[in-house]
Amino acid sequence: MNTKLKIACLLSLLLLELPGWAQFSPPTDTTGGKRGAYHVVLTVGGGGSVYRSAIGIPPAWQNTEANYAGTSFTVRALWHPDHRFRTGLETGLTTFYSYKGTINGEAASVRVSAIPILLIYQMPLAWHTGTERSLLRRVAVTAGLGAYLIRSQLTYKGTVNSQEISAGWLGGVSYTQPLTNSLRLAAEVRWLNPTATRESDFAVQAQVLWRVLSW
Amino acid sequence: MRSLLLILAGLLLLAIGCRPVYEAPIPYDFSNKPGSGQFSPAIRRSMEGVYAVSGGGGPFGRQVALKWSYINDGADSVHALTILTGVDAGFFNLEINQTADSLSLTGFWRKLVNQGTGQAALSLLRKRRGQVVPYKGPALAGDTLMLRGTFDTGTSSPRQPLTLTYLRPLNPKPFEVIAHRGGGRTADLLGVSENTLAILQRAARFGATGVEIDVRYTKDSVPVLYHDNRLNQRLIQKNGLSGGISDYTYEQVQTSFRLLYGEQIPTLEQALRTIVDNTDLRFVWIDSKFTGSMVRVQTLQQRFAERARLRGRRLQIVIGLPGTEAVEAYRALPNKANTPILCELEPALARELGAAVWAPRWTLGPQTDEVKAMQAEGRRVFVWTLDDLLFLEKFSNQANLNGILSNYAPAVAYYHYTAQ
Repeated sequence: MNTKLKIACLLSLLLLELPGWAQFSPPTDTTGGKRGAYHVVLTVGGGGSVYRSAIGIPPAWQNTEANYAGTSFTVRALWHPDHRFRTGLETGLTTFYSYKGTINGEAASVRVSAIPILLIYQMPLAWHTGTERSLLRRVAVTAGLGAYLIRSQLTYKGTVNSQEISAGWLGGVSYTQPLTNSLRLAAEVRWLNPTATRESDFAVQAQVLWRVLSW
Repeated sequence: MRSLLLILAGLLLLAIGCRPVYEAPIPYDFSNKPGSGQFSPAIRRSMEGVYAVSGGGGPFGRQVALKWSYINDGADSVHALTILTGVDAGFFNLEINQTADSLSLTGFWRKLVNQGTGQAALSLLRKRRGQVVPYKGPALAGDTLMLRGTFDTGTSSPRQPLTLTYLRPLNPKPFEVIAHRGGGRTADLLGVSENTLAILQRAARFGATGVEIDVRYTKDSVPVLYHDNRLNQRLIQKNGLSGGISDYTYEQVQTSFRLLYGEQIPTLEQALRTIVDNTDLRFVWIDSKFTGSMVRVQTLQQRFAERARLRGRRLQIVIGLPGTEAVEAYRALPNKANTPILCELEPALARELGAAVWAPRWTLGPQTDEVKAMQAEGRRVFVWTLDDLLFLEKFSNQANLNGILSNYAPAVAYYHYTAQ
């Protein structure tokens, strides 16, 4: 694990504690009373993605063709406390890009994808005035920090699968539409950025949010 | 809440990274024309030595060492003059200006510990009874050789005067200046990648007399030069692929990977052929970074040692044993004749294995008694990988070593050649 990844993990763990600190800070609400409710919300999403960094096709390859479009799937578990700062974990799979060509007349291809393993922090824009029906109050910004498992596959005279870990981050904005008490539908635009391997990817997802636990 | 957002923003910045983006593009393209023009072998020999620096040469210290090197291209040789400055691992590489009427050289200077670089042009002069005149032939008694010219500190900077005046011959004591990773690291922005044929050809221009090269096996057991245990963008151009060299066959490596400056990853065979046929290097340290049998490496080591011998080259090729795995691979060789080794482990093991060279890590200190004992037994002693300039000076002047492995070969060479 490289130093930057270690630092990012440590700071992310520290940040994971922050919502808890908010919980235990002296109450400014003079009405006092019981805190809560708290929820755990599971998000499952899928959509399309476009790879935004330069790819490097080896010069020895001929008749090359690159595909920057891919798919993006997400599973996310978020703790929604009784304040606005939510935190949780996310993983999934995003296909970054692929290219193919020939080497001395023989077909060759490379596929690259990423599995994010991120600590997620999310905040709805709930400080805006208005009712719960206000559209802006249903918009949330999301940030993620952690690692990406970058997977690659070379197919040329055999197949070589390899993977490496890259520190990285994620940024996103989503709109959530309530459906029922425990079910919501969301649309999220996301920017994935594994920094160590110099990748970036833009994705749009439709998401289903399910309130799994409440207390 | 604002503070939380600030922390988040800070973390994002951390993740985006503080990647140091710096460059030191070499501001001069060597023509690499064969031949030595008016610089006859006698003139070249007479030029080598320690010189006092005057004029605007402050960035290069009070004295420098001048040393010629060549690359043999088969029919002829390409000569280059290296000026070792001793400040910030600095050096000049100058080539012969074959079109000039006078004995003149052009090229560049570079400091390896920072981004300092620029162009330089010098002419050879002689000073006799206070008169400075162009130099045309071997020095006469009473002549003092001088190099006078200019240098700049960037393409748009003004040229500054530089004068070098001969002081004394180079320190003649036998000593190996061993350049790490074939000549230098890719990270040091030398214009070529580490562990390549190109850097091997340049190693002597950095003041090196020998090189250390890192050998790994491909999946189909072809020994190739590559340092890291993983393919990464520090050393190779982005292609989407990762893993280790040993995950890929030689053909996959050749067709799908390029090193950072566009070179192919060379085989050990290509590297040794380049060293024997094209350079004047006299020591090769094959660092065994591979796992598995050592037979293929030994075969190449023996073949090219013999090729060097037949060509009248004084070249020693040793197989480095950095750890117990390499030691076991060496022990497993069916025939150890004509296989000189370099042992990086404890002295007792170096003795037991009959190592030609004992090479402890420099951080273990000068180890004066052990060094003397090893040398008394006929072994040479090198240390690795010494890049701290302060310790380089100390080890060069006090430790009585036979050689130093460094990423800063110009600094090692400077301290050695200027020692009195």
